[in-house]
Amino acid sequence: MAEKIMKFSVARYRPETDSEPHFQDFEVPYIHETSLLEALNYIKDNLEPELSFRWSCRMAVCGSCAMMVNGVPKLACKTFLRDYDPNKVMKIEPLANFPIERDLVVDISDFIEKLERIKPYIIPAEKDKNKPLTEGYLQTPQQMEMYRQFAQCINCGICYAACPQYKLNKDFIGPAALTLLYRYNIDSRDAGARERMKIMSQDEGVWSCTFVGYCSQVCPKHVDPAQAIQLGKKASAIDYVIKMFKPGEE
Amino acid sequence: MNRRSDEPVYWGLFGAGGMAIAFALPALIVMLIVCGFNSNAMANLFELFRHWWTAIPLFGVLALTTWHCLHRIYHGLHDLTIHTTRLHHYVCYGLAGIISVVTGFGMFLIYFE
Repeated sequence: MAEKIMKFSVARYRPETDSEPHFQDFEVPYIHETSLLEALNYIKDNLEPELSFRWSCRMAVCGSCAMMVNGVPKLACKTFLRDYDPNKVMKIEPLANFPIERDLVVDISDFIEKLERIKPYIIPAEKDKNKPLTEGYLQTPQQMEMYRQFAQCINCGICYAACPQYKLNKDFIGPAALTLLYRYNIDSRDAGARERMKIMSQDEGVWSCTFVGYCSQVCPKHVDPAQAIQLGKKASAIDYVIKMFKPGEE
Repeated sequence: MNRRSDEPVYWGLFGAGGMAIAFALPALIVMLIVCGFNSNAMANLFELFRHWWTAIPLFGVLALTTWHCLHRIYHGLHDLTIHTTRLHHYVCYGLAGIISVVTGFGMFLIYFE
């Protein structure tokens, strides 16, 4: 089978020499199975050893290789060259809405800080605190099905690159963190909903979302953050009404 | 930073307005168009809405529609990269409040003259 050639225009930025990002062109031979990540590794191995990009698992599990492909946020390992027109140039840029560290590497610490803030782990109820590990937390398949979809998030940051509200307001907690917040709040084993509800109910929480829905469109794991946020709005609105009648609590 | 958002109030009115726009408003518009071709039918329609039990839901539909639209405009400003402040908030929802009150007062004058 004859190899085809794909043309690339890859964003470069080396902070020690460049004042701003610029593009460098490459040509990469490819077959039916070649992913964008493999193409970038071909460039690094054969054409430009200094090209920097993050990657690890090659199978859409680690969430490291998120980047902009023709302006759309995607995982490089899950993007195949066969789906792109070989007569056009594929434009590869670092993930949008995050500061660029070097070439295609971005600094996602703002997202990580927000992820920590929403306490993305099970907070046990007082009565469960000293439970022996052998007892575990029993959960029915139905109880698990409630949050299973939202638990598929791999923290790749693609939804933050897609979100027009996060682009305008970096204080917004953002799609992935709010989805995980909701995921733990509806977990039957968790008792931390009260603490997380305070974060969710702020202006920077679910209420900064205007339901554009692009996050759910681009999510490589089909998590549907937009749905989780709308369900979060409902939970926050119900909590608001309850608080109107029970103002003393908190 | 830790302040609770008052958005549930406006989001609630926005949601209720969405339902009014989706279901009640098209029916009203169809009724107005159909009755518009016949002056007798139009008179009957006005007669129908002279009762308080039709006037109150009609006011509800008109007021909720206004809140829905101004909520959309307020958040639409954000999408048009206009950074909204408390001023935009007061202007949009204040306008919705004023339109609701004026509509209610006007309807009160017409129906209970």
